[in-house]
Amino acid sequence: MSEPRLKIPEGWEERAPEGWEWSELWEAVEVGKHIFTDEFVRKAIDTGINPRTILDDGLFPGFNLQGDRFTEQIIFIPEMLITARAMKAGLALIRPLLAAQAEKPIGVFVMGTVLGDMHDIGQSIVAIMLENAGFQLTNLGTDVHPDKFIETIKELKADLVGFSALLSTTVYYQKVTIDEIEKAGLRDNVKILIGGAPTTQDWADEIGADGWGRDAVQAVKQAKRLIAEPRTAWA
Amino acid sequence: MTIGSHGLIIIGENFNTTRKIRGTSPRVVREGDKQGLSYTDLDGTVRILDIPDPLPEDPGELKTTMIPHIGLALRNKDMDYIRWAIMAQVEAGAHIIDICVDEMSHYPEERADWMRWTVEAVQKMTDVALAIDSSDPQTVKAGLEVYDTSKSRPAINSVNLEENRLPLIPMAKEMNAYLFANAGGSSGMPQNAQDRVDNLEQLMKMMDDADVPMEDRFLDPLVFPIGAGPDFGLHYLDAVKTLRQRYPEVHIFGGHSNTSFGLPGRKGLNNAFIVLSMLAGCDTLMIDPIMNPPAELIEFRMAADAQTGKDEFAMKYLKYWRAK
Repeated sequence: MSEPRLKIPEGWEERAPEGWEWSELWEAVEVGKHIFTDEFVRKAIDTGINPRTILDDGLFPGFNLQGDRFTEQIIFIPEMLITARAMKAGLALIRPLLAAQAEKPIGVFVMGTVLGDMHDIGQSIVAIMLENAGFQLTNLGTDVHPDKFIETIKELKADLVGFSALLSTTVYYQKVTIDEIEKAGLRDNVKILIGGAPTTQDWADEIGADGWGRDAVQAVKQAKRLIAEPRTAWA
Repeated sequence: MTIGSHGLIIIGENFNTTRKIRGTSPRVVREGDKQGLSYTDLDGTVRILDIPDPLPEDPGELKTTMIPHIGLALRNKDMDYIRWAIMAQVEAGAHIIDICVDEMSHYPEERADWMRWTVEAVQKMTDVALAIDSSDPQTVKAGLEVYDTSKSRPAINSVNLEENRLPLIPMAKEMNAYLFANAGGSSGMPQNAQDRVDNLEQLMKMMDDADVPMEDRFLDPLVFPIGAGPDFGLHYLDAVKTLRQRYPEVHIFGGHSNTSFGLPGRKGLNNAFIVLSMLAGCDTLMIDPIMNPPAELIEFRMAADAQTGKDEFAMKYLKYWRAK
């Protein structure tokens, strides 16, 4: 395993004005300076840089670097959290501009913690990371009844649904929720991702989920993989 | 039985099927195609817990492999390992041993069977009190059904405001069990100190109505990891302070090791949080008694009480010191 490195976007100079530098922003996101990130992104917008370019060339490099380090267990949860917070500050400014350019989110994602489970700590981290990755996210919170998932999936014509369970005793409701989605006839329209401390790839396979995220970074990777897979289009 | 006669009750938290050891741990031993987890038994013998599934060869994969050693010992029915995991905590000074088998199965009936089997197996080894721990009240019930109350009093871990858990209150009275009550709400986790106090006050009223003796009640305001929120430590400590003022006689504790979840150097973080918790008003600690040895904590408690006027003329401290 090699030490994760900052991946500098190829050809970024051609997409930026003469003399522009992103390196300060890369570092700000990496170390989680959210106020600086906000200010820098405003400056970039005012300079007239394309919002997509700001996102890809300015915000993602530092964010991805920390994601890789988190996966490698070099950094810890709070370090990932402050990076995600900085990323979110930048994205809050970029998102309306992307929407104005008619740039679509990469997918519609519905998430929540299953019925009987009140935990939201890990879930809120995953929510920030998915939004940062470009998903249009609806977080139903905790203790979500299968019917509520189904209703929301239909209403939003969701591409992906993810449910976490943080207790060994509520993990069973991931199976129940999948079974109910199947019964409702939606199974082919939506990809299903599960996660939570007591879950494993084996459990995901057993209950027929399409993917499993060991942690927040893996959840996003799985979501990006699944969004590219074929599924029945919504009527 | 008098538990915690030195003013501190210790609940050993290690017998929990969620407990995992990294694949890279020095305890992992490989010999040919066999692999296992080494441990030194209380009599000094080095023994091996068998790991039936092969561990990955790839170092990157091994790093993220977690070995659920308590769950493995139960599946292997390795009585030596089970005895060691229990008795090492008793030797270290735990008064109550928490038993949680939730991760043995995602299916309720299987989980209940595992709890019955485990309680019976452990009670053959020791007379120490066991806390029957599950977030599923049916699993708790299963453990209590087979509990041999001639050996010790059971503890129920735990009730909170979730509706399906409330029957555990009258059950505690009926079974003459200690009752752990946590600050979980009927439809969500507490968001601050006030929510914790409010939820536990409601449970205190229900325990009054069910006539559960004050000395059998253990309030748990819920410890959340500081890695996930900078205020989580204070939410807990402030709730402990308020509850201690309101209820001078009740037991108050938390899962103190939760504070350091996801952070490195857990022993030091836990020790600091344990001390802060004791100063806030906890008289009970749910901890890993191997990582954070109770003897030192009891000494701290006795000394701190003597130094803050809670132990007149240091009489209790001196008694403790003579008995040491």
